[in-house]
Amino acid sequence: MKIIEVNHLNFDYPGKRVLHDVSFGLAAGSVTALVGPNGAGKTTLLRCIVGLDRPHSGTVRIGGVDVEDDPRSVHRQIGYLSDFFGLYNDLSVRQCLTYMAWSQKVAAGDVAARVETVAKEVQIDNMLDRKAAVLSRGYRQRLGIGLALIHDPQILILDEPASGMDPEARIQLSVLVRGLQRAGKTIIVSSHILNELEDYCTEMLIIRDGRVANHVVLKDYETRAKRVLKLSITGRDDTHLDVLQARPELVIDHVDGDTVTCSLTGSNDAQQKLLAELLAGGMPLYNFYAVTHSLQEAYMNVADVHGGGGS
Amino acid sequence: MKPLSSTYLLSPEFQRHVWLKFSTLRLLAVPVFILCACYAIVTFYGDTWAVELRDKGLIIYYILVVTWGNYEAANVLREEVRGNTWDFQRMSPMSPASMIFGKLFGATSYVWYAALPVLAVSVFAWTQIDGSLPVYDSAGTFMAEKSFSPSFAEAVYMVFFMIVAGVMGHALTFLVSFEGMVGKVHFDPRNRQPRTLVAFLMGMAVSHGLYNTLGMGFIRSFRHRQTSFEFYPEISWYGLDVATSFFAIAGAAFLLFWLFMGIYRLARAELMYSLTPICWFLGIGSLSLFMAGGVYDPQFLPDDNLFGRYKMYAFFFYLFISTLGATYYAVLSGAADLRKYARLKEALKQGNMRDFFENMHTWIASALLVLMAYAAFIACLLKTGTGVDLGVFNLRMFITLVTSLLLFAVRDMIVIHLLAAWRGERAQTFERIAYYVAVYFLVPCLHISVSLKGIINTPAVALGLSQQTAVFHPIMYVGWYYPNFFAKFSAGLLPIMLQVSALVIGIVVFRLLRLSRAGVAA
Repeated sequence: MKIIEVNHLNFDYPGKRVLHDVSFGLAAGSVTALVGPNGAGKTTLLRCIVGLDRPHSGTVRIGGVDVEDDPRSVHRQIGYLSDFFGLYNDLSVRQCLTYMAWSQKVAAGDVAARVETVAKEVQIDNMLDRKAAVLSRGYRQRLGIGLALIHDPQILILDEPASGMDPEARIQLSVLVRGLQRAGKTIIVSSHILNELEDYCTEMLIIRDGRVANHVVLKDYETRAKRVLKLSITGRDDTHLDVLQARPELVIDHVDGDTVTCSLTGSNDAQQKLLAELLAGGMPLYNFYAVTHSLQEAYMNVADVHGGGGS
Repeated sequence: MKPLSSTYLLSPEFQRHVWLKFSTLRLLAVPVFILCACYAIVTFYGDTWAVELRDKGLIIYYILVVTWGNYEAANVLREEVRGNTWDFQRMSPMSPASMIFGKLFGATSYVWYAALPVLAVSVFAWTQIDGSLPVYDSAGTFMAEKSFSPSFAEAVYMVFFMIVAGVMGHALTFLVSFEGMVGKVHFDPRNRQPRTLVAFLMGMAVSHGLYNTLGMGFIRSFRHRQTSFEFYPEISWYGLDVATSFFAIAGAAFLLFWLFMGIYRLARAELMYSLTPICWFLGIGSLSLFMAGGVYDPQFLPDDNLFGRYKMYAFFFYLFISTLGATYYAVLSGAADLRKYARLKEALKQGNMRDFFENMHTWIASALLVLMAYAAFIACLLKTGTGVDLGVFNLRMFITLVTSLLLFAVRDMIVIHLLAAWRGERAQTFERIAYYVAVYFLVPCLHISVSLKGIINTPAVALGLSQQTAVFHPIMYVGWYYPNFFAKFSAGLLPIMLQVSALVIGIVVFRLLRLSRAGVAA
């Protein structure tokens, strides 16, 4: 089921079209990486999705509700952290979270407990009585995410959430996002730093020049795309290479000593079958592994980065 | 630290401001300051302590409410937008009423916390003034008004208007500041800023005016042991004789209602509630009618009564000019959002009346009022204008005046829309200023310079800096450049009619050309 549906969305800033006929759907429970170069329209798209900006034409439906028709009810389902979010610097972390809980109409009896829970979730519970002004960049980001989560929304939209975080905080963010995904939340994370997204994204939406250049379900991508295999063969000689070359699904890319690097077209099943047949054929393999595709590779493969168009 | 209270004070936004503004030190500062000031004044001034305490208290009240209060009201939104916290609020389910209450009264909460006790002390001091005590000013003049204390009702009245001076000024400041931001919903949200300085000055002017006339003015009127209400016991409003005190209170309540309604509607727009221009229509209509009530007088309506006739004209002219002014302002502030017209057209095509009204610009709603006032004025002129000879102020003059005013406004509104279409919605400030300077100053100046001198012989003449030219008297050529009341149709109406017609024909030709080009390309 698609919980977020965007259809033929066009958005203009004065004298400039920023989004061109953008359409896509995101499944409930997915974690989508919204990627693209700076100025591609990622933030504008997110602002249209949450109803903060009104598109020129097209529709955004969240859980079947048209955002333009009823933005207020949609907001109850969404937690949004913008790229340039701010905090009330003179309030303590606890006051910030409590104020947001009140604003989001969390039941009065649950406010204190909810504040504690969210603070733990975003690992800022040791800072509850510090003023927001004295928090480091990483802690500010965590508090921002906490504010977006305070009303326990079904959908979480984070625009550049890891910006300014140190490596440890980024790992914690990954853990947090995975935890939220396990809790059934649908998440969109925008970033142009792909390494940040690698750990937890299930889908990738590539925006380029205001258009959807590609929408990839990463699991499908892993099963369908070419993968790079590295095979290490004891006493490798030409007969071994002939065996490998005879297989139509395999292309030898590079040979370095005992190690042969080749490309396999096919799924996990094809990889499993290849290994079984090579071993059955007596190939003296002492190492066989697929080089993991990074999100960056996936992005480079599908985004037609150099061509500038969508694939 | 213990968890915070599970409930908030009045509204979450109000509570947030209370957290920000009421530290223990600030809480204690007010009573300590008031006690010290009272002690110092009573000790220093001796017998005249009550008069001095009242006057000095009211000065402090002025500083607190009129200056500091308006400053806080002007800055509350700017802090939110600059701090990038506004999006959180826009997406929260907080109601518009809760939000504006929290912002307006939260931002000024500390001001009131300090000002109300000061006002109470002042009024208490006023009631303690001993009538037998002679008071002189620095020039040695006897100040009789200072030696009388008010009745209870008079004291309550003064307190009421002192508070209204603050609330109304702060509300206006907030409204103007908010409107500066909401009117730009089509801008890049990160570039939106509320209007701060203009809002502050406007709010301060209103607060100062009310403080000075209805608050201090009330005290000053005790000079002759007679309040201003005793001087002017009744006001005529739509022919009704209303007690001045009642009218002042009812008028303040009416204006406050529309101020808060305006802020409420802006908050609804920002919080993305559906909105139609009906409130703008009702607000402009009722405010115009309220103000015009002082002009209308049924006692002077007989057909052969010149005074009555002019009062009637003035009544309709006031309605016309106030609604036209509001419409002009609405065009300046919001009509550049051309996307709304596209949506309006689409809604009309689909027959979706809800979308149609939601996408209707406010200026369209108040333009209806302008047309109604215009039609009523013309009908009134035609009905009564056949009576006595009105001499130089004849029927044609009035028709020419209101019609040329209308056409000048129409021309400017068309140009503002064209600028929006040509230059986009953002970069318009310079273009608009250039347009106004050109059509209302440069062109008239050059034309008059050339016409009167026959030749532009020095740069000073060309720029209109020489007194030998008539450039600073462009009223001589009002028919071309300014709305006018010349009786002659050729001087008063023809030029502006030609200008509007030329603009309309130009737009039609441009659109036809573009359509034909699009057809060729297809």
